[in-house]
Amino acid sequence: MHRWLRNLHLFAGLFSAIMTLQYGLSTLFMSHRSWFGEPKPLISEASYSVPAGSAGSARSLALHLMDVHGLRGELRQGRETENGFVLRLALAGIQHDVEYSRASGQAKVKTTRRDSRQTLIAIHHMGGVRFSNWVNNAWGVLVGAVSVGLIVLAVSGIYLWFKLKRERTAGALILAASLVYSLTLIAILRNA
Amino acid sequence: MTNWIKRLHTWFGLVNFVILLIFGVTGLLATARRPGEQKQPPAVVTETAFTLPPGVVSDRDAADAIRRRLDIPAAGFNFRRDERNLLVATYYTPSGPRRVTLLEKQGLLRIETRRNSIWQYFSVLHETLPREAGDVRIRLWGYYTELSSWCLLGMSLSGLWLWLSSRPRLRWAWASFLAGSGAFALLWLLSR
Repeated sequence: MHRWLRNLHLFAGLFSAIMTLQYGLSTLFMSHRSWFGEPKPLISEASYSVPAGSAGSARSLALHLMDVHGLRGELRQGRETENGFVLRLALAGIQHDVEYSRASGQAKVKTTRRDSRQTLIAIHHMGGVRFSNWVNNAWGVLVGAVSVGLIVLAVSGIYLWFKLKRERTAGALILAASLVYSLTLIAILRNA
Repeated sequence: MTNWIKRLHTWFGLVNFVILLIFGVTGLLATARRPGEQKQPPAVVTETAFTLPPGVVSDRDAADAIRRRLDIPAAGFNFRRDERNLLVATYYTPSGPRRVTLLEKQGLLRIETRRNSIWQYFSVLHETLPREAGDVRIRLWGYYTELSSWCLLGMSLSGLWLWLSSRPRLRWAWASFLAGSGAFALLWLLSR
């Protein structure tokens, strides 16, 4: 049992290690923006001709831009405007904002490539497996697996600590302080 | 050195026990959620007597006075004037948003309380950071999430050290590490 749990803890930890580092780092990026300076996204613009038959809706326009012009991402915020359509195609590291004009038959595409820090923050907010884009779904699967990993790590970690007889006293004090602090606040904030 | 790293790894885990479970549950919820899905809990409406303290002039100060009077553990709030020119302030708390309308002439507050489910509550808790401090209870919880993000980094790095210093040739360990970090690296490349 002990050996099995020790291996499980190790394997779950190693599988989750990079994502856990990512969560820790991106949380610091979000909570201490002033430490890290302004983000530096790369912004570029392009214009594409779109045949009227391919621009019957925001969705068909998005499909055309993906098939013919190689844009990628999850279709978000697609809506009709007075002149045509606006839509957004987004992945964690890149975002295309499209404005299509029926009169000119042109789609103006503003592409924002996030820097590494912004990409880490975007990955922090990924979750779910019901997107139309498979890359975002794959992130969702990874987030789900790591979430299970975190629960396994927490529970198996308690068992492994308890088996370390020399660490019991100090560990018990730390665990008790942590439990009292966190559970008290959880109860207070829930009922306030 | 390795003994101390092992000790620190254990302590980080014990400090983080509760919040690791919250992170795990939040990640699983995000995985199960449909894109854009946000269930609004039903509102409970109450009224209470209230008079603005002397010296309060601006709407911001009035909204803050209401927050203090109702003892709302708000991580943040916003306010506006509605179509009847009444001050409406919305307070964001982990247990759900509260919208308060100030009926100044009647000396009343109209309070709409929406209570999040316990799972939504955990989800909001996990994103509460000290920079959003407006209330001492929120600030205290924020310190815990801040500490946990440092501990996450410490746990990940110390865990990698302990693996490489104790069982570097374990094939399943390498397989777990490469599966997690390989998936991350591949999705990172595909997302940019």
